Amino acid sequence: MLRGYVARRLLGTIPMLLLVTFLTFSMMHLAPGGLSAVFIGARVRLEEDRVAIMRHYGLDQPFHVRYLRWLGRVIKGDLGYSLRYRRPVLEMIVERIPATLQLTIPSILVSVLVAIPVGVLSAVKQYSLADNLATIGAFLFVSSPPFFLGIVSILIFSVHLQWLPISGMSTLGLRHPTFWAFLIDRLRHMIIPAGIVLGLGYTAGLIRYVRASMLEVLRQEYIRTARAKGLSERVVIYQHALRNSLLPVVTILGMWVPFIIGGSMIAEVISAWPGMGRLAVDAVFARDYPLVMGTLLIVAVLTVLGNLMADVAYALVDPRIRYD
Amino acid sequence: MREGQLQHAYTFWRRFRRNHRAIAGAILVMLFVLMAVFAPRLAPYDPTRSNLTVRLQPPNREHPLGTDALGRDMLSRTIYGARISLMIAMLAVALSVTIGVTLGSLAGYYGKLLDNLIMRFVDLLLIFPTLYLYITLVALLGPNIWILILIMGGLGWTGIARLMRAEVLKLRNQEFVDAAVALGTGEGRIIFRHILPNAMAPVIVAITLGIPSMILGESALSFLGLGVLPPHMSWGSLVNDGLAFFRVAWWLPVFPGLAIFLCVLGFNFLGDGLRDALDPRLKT
Repeated sequence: MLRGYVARRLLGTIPMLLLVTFLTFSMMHLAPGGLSAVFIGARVRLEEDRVAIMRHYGLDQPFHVRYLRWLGRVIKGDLGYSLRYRRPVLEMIVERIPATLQLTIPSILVSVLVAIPVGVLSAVKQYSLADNLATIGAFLFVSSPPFFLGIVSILIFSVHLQWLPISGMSTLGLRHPTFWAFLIDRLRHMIIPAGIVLGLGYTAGLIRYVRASMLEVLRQEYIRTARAKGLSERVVIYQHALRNSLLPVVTILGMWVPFIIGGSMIAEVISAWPGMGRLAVDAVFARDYPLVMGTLLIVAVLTVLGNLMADVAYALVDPRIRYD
Repeated sequence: MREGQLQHAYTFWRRFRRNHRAIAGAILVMLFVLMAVFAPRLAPYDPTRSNLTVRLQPPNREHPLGTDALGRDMLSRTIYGARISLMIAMLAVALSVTIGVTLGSLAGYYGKLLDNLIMRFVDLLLIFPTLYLYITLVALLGPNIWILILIMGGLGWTGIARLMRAEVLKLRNQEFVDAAVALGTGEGRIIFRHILPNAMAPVIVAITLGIPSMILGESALSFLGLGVLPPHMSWGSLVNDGLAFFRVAWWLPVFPGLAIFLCVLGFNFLGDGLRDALDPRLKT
């Protein structure tokens, strides 16, 4: 059953990927100067040269022919060349993926570890002082623009107190570092972009979900039954309620796949972190259209694949899921 | 009928009034809206006039929020920033709510193929991480206030569409709709007179909670330098302006950032309070 579900889910991603490529390709036509701007750039100035190049590459063909030819190349991993760096777009993007994941995955893991106990406690002791503090705190961090948190913490911790580095991924000129020195240096660089700019918002959002989900479960009949059986409050909450309240949380985490792939742009820009987000922003400023469209396509494809993984993982975790 | 509505309004107000957070939110929102409307009267200086004798001054008596690198008064600039920030957010929400309510109700009411098409399109849009999609479109169409509104409003409707679809789906199977169908009421009348008025609560909440998310979206784009550009100013673009000097002049990014934070907080408090008061079932 499960194998069948996975196979169907896999097949289902193919039309999604095709739609993603189709939408991305169609968007390129919106560029000022149309397709030729995306593929040739502004460096070819003579109109006849431009026309000749367009014909040479088949850019004068009808839309569906152009799309299919482009798709054929994309499937082979050819996303064209950056106008600015003259390097293959795919190569430039792939280089940046690890840096992005290094920010997003730890920040989401830490926020899960913080938010679940806080949210559960907040629900169990509803309207207590701790609950009120957690709720207000969650509101505050959900409402602050991530760059504001980043700027304020850089001002306080990096400029004023000088506890943390201002930006970058590692300290320059760290000579022959041991593994631990390297790790600590990297972690210190991660605190502001991953911990504060990304982490606080994720944690705040998740606390609200966990709390609401736990409150919902605590109202259910089977919790009353468990209490009526004389089970201790601890067993009722941690064995009966917690498990079921975490299921919606897993769903939410599955919905966070786009954040894991593409949620760190602001954090990367603030901390000069060399990930995909900063690459995309730089590409936009340089009017490097092949790179701009390439990053959009790759983040979308990665999101589709991430969603697939999340769905399969969810099917493994939740036995109630219907395989149809 | 009228008495029933009054009763509703009274219950709503009674619940809303008890919620201190919601009242605080409503006051904050009102203050920011008044600030935007009366900006020319409130601002002590012309927000665009530079005075090179008072460059980069920290907050002081003449300039309570300091001055920028061209000696422009940051208080006046922050007050004027409210105008563009709120205008973009409100217009974008108006657009996204219109699209979302229309497509969501169509999907919910007609179901089948139309529902499938609309919802798959929603799924497709959600595949693209928001900021990547926004900056790509800005790169292709050019940064400009109207394009910003079109992009954010034209893409930000997925949540409302899903909400509306669920709501209409639920209402459509209720007895009063069956009764209307049995009486031979036309489809248009059923949708506009019977279903939509009953689905207003989530729409109102979606509007109130949509504004802060649009403010955050616009400020993120403007912060990147890909949203509102000079001579216009939004809170986000003021933060971006201040970045070049922020190590020596902390007040440049901090006060406009604080304005975004407080305004978004106000709308979130208000929206949450409205949701609890209008329909406690919607609580997440």
